[in-house]
Amino acid sequence: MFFMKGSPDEPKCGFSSKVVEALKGENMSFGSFGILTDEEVRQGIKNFSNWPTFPQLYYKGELIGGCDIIMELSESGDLKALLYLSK
Amino acid sequence: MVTKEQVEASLTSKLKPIHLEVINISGGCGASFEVEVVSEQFEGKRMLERHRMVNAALEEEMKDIHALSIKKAQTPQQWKPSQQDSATVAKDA
Repeated sequence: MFFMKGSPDEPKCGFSSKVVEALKGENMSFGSFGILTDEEVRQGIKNFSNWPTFPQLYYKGELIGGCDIIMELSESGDLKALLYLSK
Repeated sequence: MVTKEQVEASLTSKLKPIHLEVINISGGCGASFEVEVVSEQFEGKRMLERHRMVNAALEEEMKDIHALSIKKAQTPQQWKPSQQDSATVAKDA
């Protein structure tokens, strides 16, 4: 699940856009939620994960990371491995 | 407005980095920074935890920061693997 600014087709932030491209590049399907549309969800997610910024990528209810971490995992090939291994 | 110096001061006092680089990349829409931190305190921590430590060190500043990009969060060993290797060899010899 990807909490982002805007939608995958219309990201409203460069960081959200980069993660969408990375996930698409790995041919991953993912759900997304545009946090700019709901301030309550936005604050709730921040508190839930104790993570102050967006975007945030979750897998099976666990925070994988924000844009920097996803980029690093994607470049090293670990993003795909991570998601396959935990299946 | 958060300054580069404030970000540097908070990271220095809380993470005691041996290498720190803060770049102000603020554009039109608010304060943005890129940081590289190399600290002993990252030892044995996963990347997610390291980023949490950086975020926590900047808790006050984050209220006014629009975007923070953590380019590097490494241990001294990761930062200078070549020096570490030669030191190990020298010790073994």
